[in-house]
Amino acid sequence: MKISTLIIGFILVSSIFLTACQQTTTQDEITQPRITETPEEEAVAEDVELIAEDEVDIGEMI
Amino acid sequence: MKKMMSILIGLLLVLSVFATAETDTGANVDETEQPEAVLLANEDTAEEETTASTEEVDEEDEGETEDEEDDIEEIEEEYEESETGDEIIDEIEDEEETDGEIEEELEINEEESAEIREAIENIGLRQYILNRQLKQRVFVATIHGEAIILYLQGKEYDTTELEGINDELKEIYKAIDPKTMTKEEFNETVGEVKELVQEFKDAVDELVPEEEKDAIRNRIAAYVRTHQKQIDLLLKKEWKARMLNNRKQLRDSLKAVKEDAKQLRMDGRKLLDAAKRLRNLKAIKNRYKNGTIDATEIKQKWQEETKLYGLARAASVVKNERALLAIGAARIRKAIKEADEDDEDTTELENRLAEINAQIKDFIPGKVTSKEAGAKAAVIKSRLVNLEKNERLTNRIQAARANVAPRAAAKQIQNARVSSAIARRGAAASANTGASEGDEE
Repeated sequence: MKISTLIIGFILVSSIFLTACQQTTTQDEITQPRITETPEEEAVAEDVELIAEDEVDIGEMI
Repeated sequence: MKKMMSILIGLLLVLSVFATAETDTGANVDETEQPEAVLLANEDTAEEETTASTEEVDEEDEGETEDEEDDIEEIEEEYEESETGDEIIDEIEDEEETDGEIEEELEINEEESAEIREAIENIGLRQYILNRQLKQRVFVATIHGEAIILYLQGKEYDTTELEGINDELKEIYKAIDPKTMTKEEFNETVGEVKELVQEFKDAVDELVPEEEKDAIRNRIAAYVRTHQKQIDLLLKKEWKARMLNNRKQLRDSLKAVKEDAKQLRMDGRKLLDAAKRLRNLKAIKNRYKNGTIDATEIKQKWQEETKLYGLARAASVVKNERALLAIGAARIRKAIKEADEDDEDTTELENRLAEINAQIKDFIPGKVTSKEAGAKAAVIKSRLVNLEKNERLTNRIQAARANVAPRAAAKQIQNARVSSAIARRGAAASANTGASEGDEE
């Protein structure tokens, strides 16, 4: 009786573990693309040096 | 009992086998992918293998091939419909302003223009604008100081210290020459002014209780109104110089992007998504011109859009190559279809084309960079050329080419016209810029 309870427990734990493993694999396949696609950027213009109207601040008299 | 145990062990075994099988299938997905280099290097071997495996083609594979062919057709159609970019290039060139035109629009008079030019030579336009902002701020501070002193004198406070500080600020105001003050002098003056302003504020805090300050603020507002003309004059001078700087910056930046787009067109490529980015940049520039966006906001938007242009530009190089390959593949597909209708055996040809189609489908930005696009496309193109040489296809393709030749010739003439128009405009724009630079000198 004790042995059968042990075996049933073992089977249950195994099935939970195996199911978890399967789910992890499926998740990995979904979230990780097989080929990493890195967007390529070509810089064609230098940064613009725009000046805002409030570049100089000297504080308030009161 | 023993029976029960063996059933349970059996169940466990079945479960493990099932789970292992599932995991293997997932892992093998990557293994089915053959590296492109191997496919290309073993061209002949691949062909032999393809022949051998011809009989193994099942219905599922045929379905996939058809899907891929549809995708190739989609690439071709999408490319045909997408914009060349000539229109937006022309629009930008038509709107391009010279320095003189911007100055005229900002109503910068000769005296102001001369001062700006002198400042550009001495310290640069940016520093000139900062100097003008400082001069205006110091003037406003002295006006506020006067208003506070007058109010406190009316209430019989001792204002000796405040008068001394305000006089120092007035001296600094007089000493600021926006067209010659260097960056170092500017930084030093800003430090000095900040210190004096803080000193004044502290002295007022010591003299006046907090509840009286609202009354002083009202007095300041009224006093400022009596000096509004002088303040506006200082503000206007700063605004003109700032707008001139910012508009020139945006014009030059847009010009650089447009020149890049023009180069793409000269190389016979369509701009595709990059045209949209170019259009957005032009719209942002015009929003600044119309005053519906400020410099801080535009700076961020401009950076974002130029970055997106860079991405779209790189992608368009790859997509142009892919589209040309798709057009070649579609031509072969048509010839194979004709051969099939004439009851010729085309299975091997179809398989070879399917392989090439799969490579074209995989020829996308991210997997192929713009720099390697040309070389990689050449390899696929050589496979297409090899396939075209097949005796079942050659005549059919030549016949199809003969049919489209007149259309292609017309298109070539049109393209040549576009290119020469772009070149003419480019030359005219250079001449204009040269002339305006000459004027400045």
